[in-house]
Amino acid sequence: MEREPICILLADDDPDDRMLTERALKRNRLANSIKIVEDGEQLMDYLHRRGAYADPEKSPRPGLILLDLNMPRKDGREALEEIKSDPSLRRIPVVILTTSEAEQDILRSYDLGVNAFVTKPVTFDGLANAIMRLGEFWFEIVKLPPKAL
Amino acid sequence: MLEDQRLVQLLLAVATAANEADKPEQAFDVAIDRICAFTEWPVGHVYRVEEGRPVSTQIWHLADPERFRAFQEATDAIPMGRGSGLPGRVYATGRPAWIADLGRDAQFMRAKHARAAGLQAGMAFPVLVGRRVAAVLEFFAVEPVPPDEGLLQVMSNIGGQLGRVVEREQAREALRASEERIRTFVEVVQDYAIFMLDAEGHVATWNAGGERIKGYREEEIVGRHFSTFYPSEDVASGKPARVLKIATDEGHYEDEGWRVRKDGTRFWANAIVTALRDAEGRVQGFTKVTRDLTERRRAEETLRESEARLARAQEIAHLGSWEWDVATGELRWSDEMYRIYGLTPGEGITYERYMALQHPADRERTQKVVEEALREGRPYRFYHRILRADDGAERILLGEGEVMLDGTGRVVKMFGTGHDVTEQKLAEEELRERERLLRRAQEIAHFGSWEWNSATGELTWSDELYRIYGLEPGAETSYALYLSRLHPDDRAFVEETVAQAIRSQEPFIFQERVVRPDGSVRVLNSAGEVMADADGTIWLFGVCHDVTESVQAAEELRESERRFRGIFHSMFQLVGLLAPDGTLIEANEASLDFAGLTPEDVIGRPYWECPWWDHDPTVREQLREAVARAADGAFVRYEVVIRGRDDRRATIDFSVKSIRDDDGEVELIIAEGRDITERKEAEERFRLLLESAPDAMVIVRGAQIELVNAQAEKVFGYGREEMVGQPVEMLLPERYRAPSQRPNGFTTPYLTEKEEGLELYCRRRDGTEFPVEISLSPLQTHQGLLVSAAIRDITTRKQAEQAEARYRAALESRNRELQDFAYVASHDLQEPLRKIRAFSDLLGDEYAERLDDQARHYLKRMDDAAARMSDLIADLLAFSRVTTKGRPFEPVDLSHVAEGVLADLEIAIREGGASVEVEPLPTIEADPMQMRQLLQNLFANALKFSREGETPRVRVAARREPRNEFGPIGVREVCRITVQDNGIGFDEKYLDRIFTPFQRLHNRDAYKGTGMGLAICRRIVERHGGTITARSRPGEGSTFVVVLPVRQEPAIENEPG
Repeated sequence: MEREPICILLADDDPDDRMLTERALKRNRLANSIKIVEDGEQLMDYLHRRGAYADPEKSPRPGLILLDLNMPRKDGREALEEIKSDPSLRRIPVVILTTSEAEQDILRSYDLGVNAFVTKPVTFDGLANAIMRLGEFWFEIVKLPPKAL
Repeated sequence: MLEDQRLVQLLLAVATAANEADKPEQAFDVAIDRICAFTEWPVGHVYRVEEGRPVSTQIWHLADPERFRAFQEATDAIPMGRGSGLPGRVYATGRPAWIADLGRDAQFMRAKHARAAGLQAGMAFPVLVGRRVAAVLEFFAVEPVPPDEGLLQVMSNIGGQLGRVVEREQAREALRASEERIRTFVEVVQDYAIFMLDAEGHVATWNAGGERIKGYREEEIVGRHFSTFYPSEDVASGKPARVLKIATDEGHYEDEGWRVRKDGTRFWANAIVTALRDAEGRVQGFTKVTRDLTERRRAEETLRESEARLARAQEIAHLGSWEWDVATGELRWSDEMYRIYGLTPGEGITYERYMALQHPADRERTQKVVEEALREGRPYRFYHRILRADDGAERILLGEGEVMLDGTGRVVKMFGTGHDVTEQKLAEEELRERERLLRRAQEIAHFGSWEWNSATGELTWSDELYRIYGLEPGAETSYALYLSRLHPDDRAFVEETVAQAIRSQEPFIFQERVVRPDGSVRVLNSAGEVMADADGTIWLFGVCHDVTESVQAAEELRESERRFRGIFHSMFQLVGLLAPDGTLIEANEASLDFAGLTPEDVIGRPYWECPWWDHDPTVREQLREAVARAADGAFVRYEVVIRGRDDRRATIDFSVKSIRDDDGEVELIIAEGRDITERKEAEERFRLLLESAPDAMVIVRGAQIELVNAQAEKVFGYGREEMVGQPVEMLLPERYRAPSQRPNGFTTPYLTEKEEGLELYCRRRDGTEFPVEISLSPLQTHQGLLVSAAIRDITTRKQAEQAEARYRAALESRNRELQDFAYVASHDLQEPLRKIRAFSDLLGDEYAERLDDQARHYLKRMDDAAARMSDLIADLLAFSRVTTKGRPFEPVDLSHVAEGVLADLEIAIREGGASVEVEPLPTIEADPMQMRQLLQNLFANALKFSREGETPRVRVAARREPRNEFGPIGVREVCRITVQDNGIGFDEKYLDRIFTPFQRLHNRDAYKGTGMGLAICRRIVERHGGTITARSRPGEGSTFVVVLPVRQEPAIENEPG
């Protein structure tokens, strides 16, 4: 199967987690382009190409968003709600990648229209494994909406 | 003859006056005028007996007022005692008295004045009512007059006649006084509703007590039925009719029960209904507080009858005989004939002498009768008068003559009798007159007379007697008829009396009742005399006096008296009737009984000197003053202690008041005392009880404070006198004073149920408010609704409660914070740990070739430590989540849960070669997740702590029990689950430790685990209101026992968290 050049947008405030996730993605060679934002505000700026993210070349529209829930300024829950209520953004698949196992967070996220909710495994191998499966699922099994849209 | 006529005139006049007079004075006035006229005595005067002595009245007859004025004044001025002077003597003896010569009678007190007036003789006679002398009539003459028994007899008669007038007046007066007394007495009695009902139960009379107690004025209630006083349910059940029925059947009826006032409020009453009956026993009506005195006393009055004894003249036959030879003229007289003519027997008589002795007025007629007899040759019979030869006395003779004829029809001889019938004729004359007089007198005075010949059975009645019997005068009568006319009850007695009189020949007197043909009953006083004729014939004479009206008046008086006495004596109160000077006139039975007295002990003594008061001089003095004030018209009332029999004491509510007569003079003083000893004692007990109550007590009547205790003074800061009588609102904060804001019952008079534990605020004297707990209890009394309030100052309790609430809130918040902390901390602690492990992995993976074995060993140790910390944190999180993340309770099938757990543990079971035996488990209300967690931990534990070389064997059992013996669950049904293993066991001294977080009994190397498993189990069990414990010995296995309620109380799941 031919791979599309996919851009994955990772939103996480924790540099350690960003690094581990990035590492796991790279290990699985999933992303030819990984873009990173550090909180919900930045995420929304990116998606709406505001400020630093105005250049479409530098800030391409992501094919998948990996979203942490607990972030400063605007957290993942708020960002998810905005994305899923915006007709131009809501088709972008959003996967919550968090340490939370809280039932309430899980239910709320699905209610808001999240595409998947993943609790981060404790070990790096576990994380890498999970990312690998995510990649397989989203980029090989699932038929995504046409990019033009 | 003339004298007799005048006597008749006199008697008639007095009888008429006696009959017609309204007052005795009128009759007295007529009597002395008539007697003076009859006797031609110039002075007549009347004394009336008052207060035990004769008192001169202004009733005088004075032929010459100027002449006798000094005597009159002296008479008025000289007081007469009993026995002193002429009227005193008559008063003392009850008999007439005669003083032939006033100057010679040492007893006569007015001798000097009489001499001055020229009075020389005096007589006096009593006016008798029964045996009592009511008045004395005295008369004086201007010349000495010898005693005249006949005249005195007449005077006695007159005295009897006048006595009837006095008696009539006294009966009327006594009746009036008695009725007045009972009326005023009943009217002023305040403490009893005394009223009378007619036979159907309608109110007939009313008194002040009735108005006060029941609220009706007389004009509102008289005529209404007495069921008005009963509550509707009593009326519906027919109680009023029952009461009358019982009172009618049994005489009286006493009961206690609710009654209704005019305003609809109820009160508890004690009532005695007594039937009032007339003489025939028919119920006339009913009264209260009276008792039926059925015992009827026989009238005890005696009739003082004038002894109308009609003396019957004895006729002795003075009969002489004669013989006259017409041819020779020779006249021969018997001795008796000579005696009749006043001649000496045998002295000789001629026709001429005979004619000469004839009364001149009759001489010619006598001669004619004789000549006619001679000429006609026939017998004669005629009355003629003669003048007796010896004394010239006029005699009446009945002359009878017979003639003897010869063959030619010529009279040759005459013979005959002369009969002196003077006495007989005079007696006949007198008798006729007397009978005429008697008839008239009888008609006027309702006297009848009779005469009975016991030999022939001939009975003669006077016309008036026929009228008394309701019969036509002159109808045939007989002794049997007489008896048949008598009241059946009297017949035997009368027969016996008459028979006795005939045997003894003594005068007799009795009272009898006669039934007239129309059924009415007359009461007669009868008197009679017996006389035997020369031939042995017994004659009875008698008079009957119709005294029905007098007896009725006396009966009415007694009836009224009886009624009064009934009320008076059946009262529970102590009642005394006093004269205005304080002399005790009457005391009722209750007062006498109380002190064990008889009327003789106290009647007539000053009230305050009676035994009731003799224990204390101040009490006596107080009473004396109270009576004096009452005599001045005051109403005096006070409480006082009196002495009773056996020296017992009683407290009475005592009052003294006066009753005035028509002229406004104090006539009677009524002293009443109600025994309130029990009430006082009860009050005292109640007061002590009240005072000893730990709470402030406030007793309220109609929203007014009636009574408070010392504690109330302390709590509210008011003095007792500042509270009593004030509206209860004074104790409440102003915001409660609006009626809508009032605590229920406290200030309304309609509280019917007890109310307890009301919490509200009260207000102290200084205006500060404080929280109280009030319990109210209503008490229906005959004075209205009493509400007693027990008030407890709960300031301290409130403060403690508030402190406790604050403390609990603080504790809960602290717990919450701790739980939050545990949760947040454990969650946030995971983050760096996860990174440590992640980077450690990364290091191991990406730099594997560059690390030697030692480095990889260190890395593994680091990773293990991180993993272990991660487990600790995870268990800590689980521990905190038992309460923070608990789910609602629902029915959980524990067998189903156990199956799931065994499935999870399948690998461990298989690897250990263990056997797990689970008996059926019940369904209970619980958190399903936590039940799974609980069983998982217990099963895992049992498998984990197995003994070396021993096949692990786990046995799980459960049973339901009615209650838990350990306590916290109380009496609810429980489920007891036991998990038994054959593992290593433990020493029970570590029992507490094994359920404590992070506590372990074994080295980590021997048995893995964080030491949180059983701590979580305990937390889960406790959240469900259950208990967990274990039994074990080292090397002998362990048995964990979990007791859980089958059903959860709602309150338990609302635990904070």
